[in-house]
Formats: sequence, structure tokens, C-alpha cells
Amino acid sequence: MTRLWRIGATLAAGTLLAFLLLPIVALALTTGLGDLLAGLRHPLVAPALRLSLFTTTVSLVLVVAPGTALAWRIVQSRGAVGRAIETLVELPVVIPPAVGGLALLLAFGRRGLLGESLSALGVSIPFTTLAVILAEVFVSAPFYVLAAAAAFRRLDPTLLVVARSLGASPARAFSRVALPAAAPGLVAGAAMSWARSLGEFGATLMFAGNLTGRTQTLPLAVYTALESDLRAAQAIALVLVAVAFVLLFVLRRAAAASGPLFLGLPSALGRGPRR
Amino acid sequence: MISLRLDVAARLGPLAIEVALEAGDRPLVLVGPNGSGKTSILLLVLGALRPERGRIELDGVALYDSARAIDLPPEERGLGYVPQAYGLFPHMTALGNVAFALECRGVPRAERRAKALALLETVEAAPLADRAPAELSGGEGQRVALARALASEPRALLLDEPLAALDVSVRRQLREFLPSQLAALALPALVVTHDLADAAAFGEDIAVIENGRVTQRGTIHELRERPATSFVAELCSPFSPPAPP
Repeated sequence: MTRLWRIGATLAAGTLLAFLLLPIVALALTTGLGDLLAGLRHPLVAPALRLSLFTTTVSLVLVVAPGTALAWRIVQSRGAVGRAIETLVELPVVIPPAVGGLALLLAFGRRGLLGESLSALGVSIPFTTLAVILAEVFVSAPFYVLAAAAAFRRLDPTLLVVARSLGASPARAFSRVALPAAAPGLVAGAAMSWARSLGEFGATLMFAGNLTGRTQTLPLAVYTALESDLRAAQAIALVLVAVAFVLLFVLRRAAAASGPLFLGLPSALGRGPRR
Repeated sequence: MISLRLDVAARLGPLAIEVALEAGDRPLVLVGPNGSGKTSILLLVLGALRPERGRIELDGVALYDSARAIDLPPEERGLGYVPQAYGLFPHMTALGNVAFALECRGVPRAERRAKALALLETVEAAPLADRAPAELSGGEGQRVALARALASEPRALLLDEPLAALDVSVRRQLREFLPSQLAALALPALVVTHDLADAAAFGEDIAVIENGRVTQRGTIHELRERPATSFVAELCSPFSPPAPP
């Protein structure tokens, strides 16, 4: 019975693992070097690559600076308010991206909540590069904020008491003790958040559209290329997979430096023990 | 003589703390069972926890006074704190930890290294300067944390379980070293411990804390001769005090 159980469990685990790996292997095996080079020369690729690099970099900056402040506030406020804010931040993670895109349209679109005020200022956000950035911020910020809050929560609170007792202002205690001591976790959170931005598809498509050079990021380019040139789609996909591997490596390194990490959604949503 | 006086009431979850204590040039040792509020008393003095009412005074200056709405932030209290696990900043070397205290005090960057080394020297920890806290043993961490606390030129010292979690030989060694350091500094000090032998090493003045209150105050002999509570009796029973010097 025990033996049967073990064989069954191994078989089930192996099947899932194979299923997870097979598509990646297929992607790599069916794309020859010639296909890759030809694909990368496709006119869709360069603008999409530039746009993705630009928008994800900007959105990362827009996420990390206020996200660090927000995470610190969440950890500092022990009570119901902190928990409520944390739950609100988690919301974009569980909302389907397409719904997020629709919600962004309803907020910033011409007929949206802020639409009139924005058009009065002569600003129209939907279907612009700015819309791409906003969509990326919306979907990726929670990953950073939750990871940063987890990293801050892992800090030994006596470190901050000691720093203050030595004469450090709250700002100095934060910048010289809390921030560097939590740095590996923050870097890992930023990497997660950036990866989510880079892969963002649904909200971008709804809110920013699919305009080459303006709103067509790499994932949208894969989708578009699929209709005309499979090789271009494969080439872009391989680029994204390569980036993913580099990110995984960074995350493993950060995990080794900072202890248990949130690699993946369930643990990112899970709260560590509150001190 | 500098003195540290506190007379505070605080409610921390289920625990109600109400204590009146003072320490002069001899360390005051706080002994008590786990959860009796010993560490919380240190945190109240540090300003990391806020009392409900009362007064904390160092050298005649109010650090906290509910009647006069005074509540100095921790960085203005001039207290040296060595927490239980030493609280060394993990991203700095031993030297960096001490230099951070100098930085907070406004010591120019160029002078910090030499001064930090000199401070490590006084606690016989200079060879550890370039080690990361993770590479320090318990006794070594304790010395570095003490040097760091002294670097801020405190007017009183708060030590939380300074001898716990050390192996026997290091503990014996520090049991002589720490009290002699404190005696040389002649600063008021609160020393928290749950071990009567450690308490005895730090001196004659012992306050027993139970359930947030001082249940007995006296020398180790007085505690032993006339235990006021069953906890004190139990604490003293297996212990034979060292011969008086």
C-alpha cells in the first residue's frame, strides 16, 4: 500500500513537472538559430523591445520608490488599518488583468472618472505609452509592495530600537539600518515586479491598445507576430524566456541572502508572522 | 553621581506594569520570570514603548513625564542599549556597527575608524573589527554591542540578559568582565537577567520583578534570608551566594 502510494505520488509529480517543462522545451527545440536571427530582424521586434525596456524601467521606478514607503507604513501600522491596506494592495494580484485594463479605462478613459478633468487639462491617457506604463504599474506594484513588506517584517525590530538609542533619527534608522538590512528582499521584490511588468498583456491590450512603437510591448508583439510570422513570435518568446531565466537566477541569489522568499503568488500573498 | 529614576505605569497587552526604581553608580539588577515585564521596562525607559503615566528621569532631566507632557524620542535620551541577542546590524562589520554610533553622534567620517577601533580595544574586541556579526560568537557579539553602546557616550546603560545564551566558559569570563566594565564606567545601569548567579555578579542591588511589579528589593543575602514571594524562594533555593569579598 505504502509502495503503491509512493509510486502514484512520484508519477503524479513527474507528470506535472514534465507538463511544465514541455512547452519551454518545445519553444527552444522548434526554433533554430537561423529562425531566431531571422525572427529578431522582423520589423515588429525592435520597436517592441525598445518600448518594453522603456516602459518597464519607468514603471519599476514608479513602483519602487512609493512602494517602499507604502510597505514600510504597512509594517509600521500594526492594527486593522495596516491589514486593510495590505489587503487592498493584494487586490490587483487577484483581479484578472483584462478586468484591470477595463477598470483603468473607466478611471482614466475619456468618459472615465477622471476623464473630464484630464481632458480639461488637455491630457488623454488611453492608447498612449503612458497608458502602457500605468497598466504595468497597476499589475506589478503589489508584487513589490508585498515582498518589501515581508522583507521589512523579517527585520528584527530591536535593530531599530538600538539605532534610535544610538542617536539615529527615524529617517536615519530607516535609511541606514532598515533599508540595507532588508535589501536582498527588496531586490527580489523589484525583480518579481519587473518580471510581471514585462509579461503584462491583458490590461495593456484593454487600456493601451496594440500600436507598434507606441503601445506594442513584447508580449503584444508575440501575439501580433503569430498572425504573420511564427518565427518572429518564437524569437521574441525566446528572448522573454532568456530574461526569465536571468531573473530566476537573481531571485535565487536574493533568496539565499535573505532567507525564505515569496517565489510565486501564494507565498507572496501569505503574511509572515507579525511581530 | 548620575542617577536614573523611573516611576511608571504601562499596559502592554495582558501585562500591567507599575514600577518605581532608581539606579545610581551601581547597576540595578532586574530579576524575574519570563514574561514578568523585565524587557518591557527597558523598552519603556528607552522610549520604544510608551507608558500610560509616570515619570522617567536621568540625571535630573525628565525623559518622560506624563504630567508635563514630556516624551523625548529615543535618540534624545542618551541611553546605551545592549539587547538580548545584541542587535548588531547584520549588514555592517563589527567596526561598522561601532562607527554607526559615532556617525549618529556627528563624529566626522575621517575620525570614526580610529575611534571605533579604540572603543573595540576597550572591550578587548579590536581583532574582531572586520568580522560580520554572523561570524561572531555570543561572547564576541556581546563585547561589540557594548562597544557600540559606549560609542554613543550614554549617560546610562541598559543590558538585557547579557549573560544568557553563552556557553559556560565564556559566561564565566564575561561574568567578571562586564561587571568590572560597568564599575569602571560608574554609570547608572539596569541589567535584566533571570539567573540569580548572574545577578550576583553584577552587584548587591537587586529588584525582583513579577507580573509587572517589584515584589522585592534588596541584596542577594536579603533575598535569600527573607524571600518575599514563592518565586524568590524558589530562585534562591539551589543557589549558594559567593563568599563576600
